[in-house]
Amino acid sequence: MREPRLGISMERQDLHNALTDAMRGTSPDLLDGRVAAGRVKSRLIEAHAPESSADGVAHLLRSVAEPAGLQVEALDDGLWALFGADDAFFVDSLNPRFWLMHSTTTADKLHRLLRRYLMPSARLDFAWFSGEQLRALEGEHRWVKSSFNSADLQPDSPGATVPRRWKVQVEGENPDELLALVSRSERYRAGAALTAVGSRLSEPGLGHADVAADYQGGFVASGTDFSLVSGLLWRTLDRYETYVLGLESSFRLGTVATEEMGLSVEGEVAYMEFPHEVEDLDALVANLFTCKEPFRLWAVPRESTEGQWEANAVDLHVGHPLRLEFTSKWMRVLLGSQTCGNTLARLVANLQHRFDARTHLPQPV
Amino acid sequence: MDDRLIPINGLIALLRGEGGWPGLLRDQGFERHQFEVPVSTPLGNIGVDALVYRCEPDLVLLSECKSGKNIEDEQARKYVAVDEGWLRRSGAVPPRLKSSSSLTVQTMFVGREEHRASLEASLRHLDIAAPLLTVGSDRVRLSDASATRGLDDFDEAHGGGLPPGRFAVDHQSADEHLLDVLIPQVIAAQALQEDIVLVESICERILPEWQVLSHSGRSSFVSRVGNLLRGVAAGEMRGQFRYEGLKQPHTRGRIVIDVSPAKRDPRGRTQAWQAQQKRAAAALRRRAARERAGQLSLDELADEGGLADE
Repeated sequence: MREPRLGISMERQDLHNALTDAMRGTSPDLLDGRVAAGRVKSRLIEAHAPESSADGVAHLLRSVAEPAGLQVEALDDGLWALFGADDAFFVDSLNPRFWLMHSTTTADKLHRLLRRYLMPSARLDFAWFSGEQLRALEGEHRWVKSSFNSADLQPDSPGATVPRRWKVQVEGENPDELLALVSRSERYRAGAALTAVGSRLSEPGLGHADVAADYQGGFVASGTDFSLVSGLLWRTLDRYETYVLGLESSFRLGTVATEEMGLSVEGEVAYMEFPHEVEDLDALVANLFTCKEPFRLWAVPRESTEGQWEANAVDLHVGHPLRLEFTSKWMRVLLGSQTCGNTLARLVANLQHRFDARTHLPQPV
Repeated sequence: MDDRLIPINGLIALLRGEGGWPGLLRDQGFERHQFEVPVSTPLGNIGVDALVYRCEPDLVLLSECKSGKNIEDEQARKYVAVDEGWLRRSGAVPPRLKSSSSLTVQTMFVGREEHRASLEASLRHLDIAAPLLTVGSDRVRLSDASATRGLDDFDEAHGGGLPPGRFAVDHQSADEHLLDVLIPQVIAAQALQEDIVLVESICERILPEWQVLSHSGRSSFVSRVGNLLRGVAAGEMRGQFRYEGLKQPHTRGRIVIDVSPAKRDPRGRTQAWQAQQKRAAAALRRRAARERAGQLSLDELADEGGLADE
């Protein structure tokens, strides 16, 4: 490990202790005051370093942090600090593909760093939790948030089948029950997307922590012990990794030469039946490929036969090609042999928030 | 997807039951399949488009996929001349059937549903009795299978539309179809901020049958793709990338990315990518889809008006 330029030596446990202090409201004596007292914000990030090594991670971190005016420092095995004049961000790359970033800086500053410098890189992306994954967040759920906006994909929808916009926050005992109740209503179920969950973790001897998580891999925590939060984050990371690797293993398509000198085809076509029939397919196709967040899909789609569209697309987040096919009743996604599974995860999570909360990608048996 | 490849993609969908298509052949026990299999016949060699098989009864179907209305006489006769002996001689018997003592080899013609009448007439004209499978966006039919043990006729409506485009192009696809998959490769390279991409590696990525294409077939395809890229680089996408021919190895070229929207300030990036869509649409002779604006939300209205939110 290189000598830290700020003259600090820190192991992972030291960071956890410092973040515990911050959560408890005492400013830890760390990095010349760059770690302020307050809530700990964490992000689960999917990364494609140019090589799977500490050098690869360092190269990628420098390429995105230095333009933001942040220095990159190695602290421990797979643990990095990005620090500027007033703030510090810690990146835990122990899992080389799925990173955890922690900071006690303001939400605005973290948001700016992510949106302006990290996410524009084709090598970094958020984690994109489906409603089912958020629903499985550990702990006692105390708060849920549901938001939905069909204006992007169905701009002229009258709102009869699918709500145009929707923003609900429920607090209290068993908040999931109220959202489940709404999900059973024919009038509102298409909009009842699970956007964020607040959960209380507690463990005798360790105290408690309140953690709020959103569908874009964002976490905010307060409480008495960061180790409770850390455990939740690592287990969530492991589950998300399993999910993304599963998508890749199931849905990456390819051909393989056989012993008989022929070809066999591999992988499954991802197929989603729309929970409701699309009223204006042309608008959905036009607005899905605008290159804008959150889909960031590039394509020049064409109507291959009446009522069916196809698009040889590029996921601009990661620079990977994929093919999409649509009718008003279903969507097919054909991933390339190297296309990232996070592309599919992002598509599903955002369709749940912009098309229909019930959008679901069945996994092959 | 190249329309020529609808039959082969339809056959795959029926074998796998995927993408909203019924697995009608899978349900009859056809569990494995191979494509572009070289087979010797007493009348000359052929590349069988798809070799599918089932066990008990042991049956190999040699599938000839036709995109048009007619069946070519010479090619069809080569297919139907293949028997168990010739299949074994070609080393094309699937491993699970190598020890079979009752192997049947049967040719099946595969075409498009809208051409069924012409294909039936073609088979009658050639005096060939063989199963005919036709695939369409809302109906699939298999006929004349009753004489083949282990294969049953079907006629079924479905809601799967055109089959999934697993094979979107092949090495014989027309330029317009190749460009449809080539341009996204250039865009992907720009998104990844790559400087140089070998044309050969692009060919490998877009062509499903690349691994079984002959050396001369590969060279010819690389050369064709190079010419297409050269044309786009000098035309609609001028200034975005350029094509450079290489003397070695194999006179294969590369593209050099000159500019990329991914290198622009994030605030202007989306517009730069949208400009790429317009250039690509011009190269593909298509009209770029125009975004439909939605209604302003009350939140956005309040933000734009500078109203307090607390």
